[in-house]
Amino acid sequence: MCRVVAYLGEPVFLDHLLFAPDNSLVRQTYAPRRLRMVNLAGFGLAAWDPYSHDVDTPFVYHTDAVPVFDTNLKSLSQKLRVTSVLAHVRGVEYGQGTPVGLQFLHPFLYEGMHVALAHNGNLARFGEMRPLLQPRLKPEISRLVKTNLDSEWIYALFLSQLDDPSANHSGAELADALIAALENLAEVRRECGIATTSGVNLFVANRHAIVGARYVFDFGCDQEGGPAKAPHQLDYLSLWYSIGRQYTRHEGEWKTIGGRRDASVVLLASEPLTQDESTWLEVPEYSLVSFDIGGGRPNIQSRFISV
Amino acid sequence: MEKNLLNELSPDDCSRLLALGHLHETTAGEELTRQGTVGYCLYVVESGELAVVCRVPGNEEEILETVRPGTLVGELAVLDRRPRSASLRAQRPGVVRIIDLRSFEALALEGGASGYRILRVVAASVYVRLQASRMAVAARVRNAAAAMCMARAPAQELSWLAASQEVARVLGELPAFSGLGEGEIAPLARKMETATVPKDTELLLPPCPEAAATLLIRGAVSPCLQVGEGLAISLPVVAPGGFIDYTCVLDQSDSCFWRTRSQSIVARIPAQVFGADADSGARLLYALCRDMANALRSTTSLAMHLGMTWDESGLRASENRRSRLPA
Repeated sequence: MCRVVAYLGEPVFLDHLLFAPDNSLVRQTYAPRRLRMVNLAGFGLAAWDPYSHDVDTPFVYHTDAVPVFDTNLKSLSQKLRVTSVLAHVRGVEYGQGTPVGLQFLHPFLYEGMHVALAHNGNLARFGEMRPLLQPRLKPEISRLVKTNLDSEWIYALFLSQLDDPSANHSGAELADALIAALENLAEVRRECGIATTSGVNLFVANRHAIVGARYVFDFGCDQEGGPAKAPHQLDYLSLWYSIGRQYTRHEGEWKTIGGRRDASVVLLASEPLTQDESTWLEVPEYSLVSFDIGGGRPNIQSRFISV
Repeated sequence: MEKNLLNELSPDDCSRLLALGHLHETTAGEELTRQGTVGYCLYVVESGELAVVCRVPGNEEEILETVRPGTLVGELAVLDRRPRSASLRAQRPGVVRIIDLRSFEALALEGGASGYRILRVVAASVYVRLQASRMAVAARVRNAAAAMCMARAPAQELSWLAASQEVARVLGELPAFSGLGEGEIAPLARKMETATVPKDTELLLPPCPEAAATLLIRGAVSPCLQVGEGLAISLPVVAPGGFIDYTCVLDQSDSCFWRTRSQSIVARIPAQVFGADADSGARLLYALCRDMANALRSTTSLAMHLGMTWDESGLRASENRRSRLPA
């Protein structure tokens, strides 16, 4: 399991998402509040700065170091103000030979594309699924796949659902593609006879939109026919959001203030960035939320997913 | 609407409950508990009024309800051990009785027949609030969110078989049964029957005269509410170890139906094992209370989400997507 944060709206210092809150993403690498494991397998982000060259292409930062000790990241995050961010800390099951390294780090963003994806969860028996997924990828996307990691293949499958993967897309278009990718995964799982709990909380972002899907295939089932035994498998993967006029330090805590009507910022995260969860709401299970900046303010859409 | 707790209890039981707490005089505007903090106390309003105040994202406040003398509040955070979902603020000077968690648990679990009766009243109170929260979700969906709905699924009558020995092992691993000892779980499992249900099936559960509760052993099941012709809204999912039908235990009626989200195994438990005379009755009823408190919290969150995400523009978008609703 991993931890993820996405942000869209008024310019914000990266530091205010990654380091400053009392349950910041970097703190979640070693002390997540809603996960019974640490996330030490690397860190990555894609962020869009409206004043940078080629504004639709984000700058990307990946490190396999533990980010709390990354002084370069801390220094950059205190200087960079961005309007859209997707950041991820990677956690893997211990001692199962899961590959670790720079090439496996989220968010995934292929050259020439403007939308990035991060994944929280894992696909059971993914090795059996891969040959059946290959023909479902667009040839020009298939050529870009570098690893055998389920998350990267989900990204490739998601891009393959877009008519023009390198174009800029609205939140609704990204949401449609995300659901189509989940439908493809569901079909392949059926073909392979896979009915084991597999979390696919997905986050996608570009300069104008962020989308989050909260979905677990065959929640509550393990391979042997009993209940999912690991304690974290008895909890549906979490996904939260917060929306307001401003994201700021208020009464000692980082939070959104101002109501939805005047909203100009939105955060989407695998768990709230603050101890006080009162300014956060959970995305319902088996559903998706998308946030667009249209006319300068985020527009929210919520949809039920059944695949 | 809150039930007047003191009216539901006999004078003796009421005295036993109130004797656990100490009196606190409130001043107008005083905040007794703050949303987001951990709860270790329950409150009984003796005089005056308390506002249940909820901050929603964006830091706006909403008064969920005003509670009056005789009402028990603050029990959710105590039951599910999660941060308080709302603040309690005195509307005017008054008196509240503050009962700490350990005293309440000791009375409910080890207080004999009287403790059991008090726990049962608390359970009924949580159930009534859960039903009200489900109705709030349904009302919001009827107003707007067709895109949050799904088509009704085929229903299936269940084939019950005596529970295998494996069920006892599984029960021992489920968090909901952590309060029961090994010596209690095996006899409980022997009284259970199980049924396997495919994914995306609506459960036809035994009618109430059979007096049984249903527990989820494996998979996932959602309570659902019909919100239109052939359309339903799915409420927060129940995980293994959660209860999916318990109206017989509480002598209540249910407004929802149940649908599997994964291939599932459900178990039927005779209602009498929840009774005051049963060895594990109080502990099972307490586990059910905690489960309902958890469901109430997540259902309230769903209602808030629907209010947050569905406005007029959302309604238009949902109408545009109606033709693409998942089957």
